[in-house]
Amino acid sequence: MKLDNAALIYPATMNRSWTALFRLSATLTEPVDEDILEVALKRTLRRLPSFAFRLKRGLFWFYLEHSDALPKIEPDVGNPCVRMRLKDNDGFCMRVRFYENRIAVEFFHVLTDGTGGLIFLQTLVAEYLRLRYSAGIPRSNRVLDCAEPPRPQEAEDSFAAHSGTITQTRKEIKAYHIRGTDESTGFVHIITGSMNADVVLQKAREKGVTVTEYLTAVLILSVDAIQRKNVAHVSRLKPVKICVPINLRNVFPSETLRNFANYVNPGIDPRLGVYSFDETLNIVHHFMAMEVTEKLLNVKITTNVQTERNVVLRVMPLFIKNAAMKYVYSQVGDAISSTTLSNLGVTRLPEEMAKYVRRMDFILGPLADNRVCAAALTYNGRLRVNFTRTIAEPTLEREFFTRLIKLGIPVKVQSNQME
Amino acid sequence: MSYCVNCGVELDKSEPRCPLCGTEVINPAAMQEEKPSRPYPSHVEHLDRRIDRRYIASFVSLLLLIPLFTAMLTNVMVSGRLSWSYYVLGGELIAFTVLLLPMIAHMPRILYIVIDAGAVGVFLLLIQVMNPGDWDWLLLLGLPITGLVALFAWYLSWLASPKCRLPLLIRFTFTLAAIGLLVVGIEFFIGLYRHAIAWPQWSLYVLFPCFVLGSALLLLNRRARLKAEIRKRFYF
Repeated sequence: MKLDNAALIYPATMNRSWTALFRLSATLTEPVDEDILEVALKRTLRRLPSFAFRLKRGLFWFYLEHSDALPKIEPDVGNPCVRMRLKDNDGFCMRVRFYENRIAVEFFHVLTDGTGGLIFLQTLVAEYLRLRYSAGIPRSNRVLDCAEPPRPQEAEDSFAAHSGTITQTRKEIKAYHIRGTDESTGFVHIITGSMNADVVLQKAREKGVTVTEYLTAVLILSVDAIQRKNVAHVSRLKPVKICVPINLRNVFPSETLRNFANYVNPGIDPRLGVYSFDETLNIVHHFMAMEVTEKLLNVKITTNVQTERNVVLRVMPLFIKNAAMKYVYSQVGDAISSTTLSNLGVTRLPEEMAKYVRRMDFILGPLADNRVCAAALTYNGRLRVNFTRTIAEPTLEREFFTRLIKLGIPVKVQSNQME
Repeated sequence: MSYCVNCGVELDKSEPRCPLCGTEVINPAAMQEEKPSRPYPSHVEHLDRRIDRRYIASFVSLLLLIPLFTAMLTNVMVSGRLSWSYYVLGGELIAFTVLLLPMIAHMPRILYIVIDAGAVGVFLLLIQVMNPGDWDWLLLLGLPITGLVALFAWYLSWLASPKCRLPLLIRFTFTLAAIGLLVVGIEFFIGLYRHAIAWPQWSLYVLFPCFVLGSALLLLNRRARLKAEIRKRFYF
């Protein structure tokens, strides 16, 4: 199977110590049974074969090859989201981990995006619960029925399907990057901040924005505060932009379970002065309203798809393509945003399932260049923001969470720090 | 329920200290309670250490002794003494300095260039010592051109470094200018060596196109719309 358009960049930019991945986990009410989990995984992969693919190197492109084997189910580790060594993983692009009550699945971005991964996890957990407790869970398009055959729409490359004719440049101004002491061992720090989802929703509604816009504004001001502490002269301040992935399934009709997301970068220019919270909210809200439209997103999709279809690029051998993609990514990839905030939104499980699932988390793996990134997911009335960082200093997390507290949102933190 | 006295966040019961600021958990009422298990196991996935460049470079340097030894042995066996194998030694020295030294030692960029130029200079000196005669070619041609090329290399490395904040097209212009000046300099020293400075002559064939191209790039740099079009075609 060919890689979908968004997935093309990930095998080119991965290396020995970095892969683009993300993690979704569900915490149940009782300890996980490994054997039942294995059977559930087998059935889920039969229903969702686009996840049982191995990444292979072709002459001109990478491609995916289906495998009937099973990805390993391993005990979880203290530093999740470290790079995925495809060789050690039997070539699979995902891995399933469990620890006490929690089932976690880590996906290499080549396979799918957050929404697709969430559907996989929900289906896996539903199968597990059905096998373990004989729970009769009603299936839908979010929790798939493993007795059904796979549907071709789920493996569609929706980028190609929704590509148009007008393109534009990808270049944007480079943003400020948070630096710190890189962890020499490559340890990934995770800090989870959980808050009452209704409180956040109410605060956002008061200001007339969505929860994503609200959190993005807080994050922008947090990065801005850090930059002002580290950079002395106002003229040397760089723009602060946050990369916000947009689920294109909400804009275009698609049922694909592979990648179908694009990114916008709302932000501020700190050289122009100090921004108040309301000012930032206004900017983010109207930026999203302008950029997250069918027409403009179509232009972005088309630019990427035309790149893929370009005749000159297609006949270039893979190693040249990889080098070119690495270079382009270094210019227009992480460089144009200070950090990422990926919000999967509210996850609702059917009641028969929800009584066994206490908590759900969404954690991004470390980014290529940015040292800190954030991911959010709301389940069961709790909004959890997971920060992933590869530096020792938790400056951004502290700034972000203390800012939320000052705005009147109590936060509870948890981390993976060692004793 | 414990709170961090510094940040104000609520801390999960299993946290040994505040993850945001490192402050110890201060909650006299909860001191005696047993802490629940941590959300992540203590077993940490071991990451391989990065490729040890220094080790590989040192290893390869050692391997370089093999051709050197072979050359020297052959030299002694055939000619009875070491003569041309010194050239091999000189060549290997340059290979080591240019390719392997950066992997072994970290130093400022200018020092690399100086050491490389020094190695080439030593090799040229070796050639001179092995063939006693006129020192003119070395002093008027060899060493000055080495110096020029070293200067050029240092200038290019500065232009290519992330510290240089000039726009890309301006950098290409400066590179072209440097190429032009390098060629002019080479012709000057050739002229000096021949004791007949009739300069610049053939270097003009290089200088003029460089100058024109450079100006064209400078003009191109001023047109933002044209730049955007080109960027689009190059998929930036």
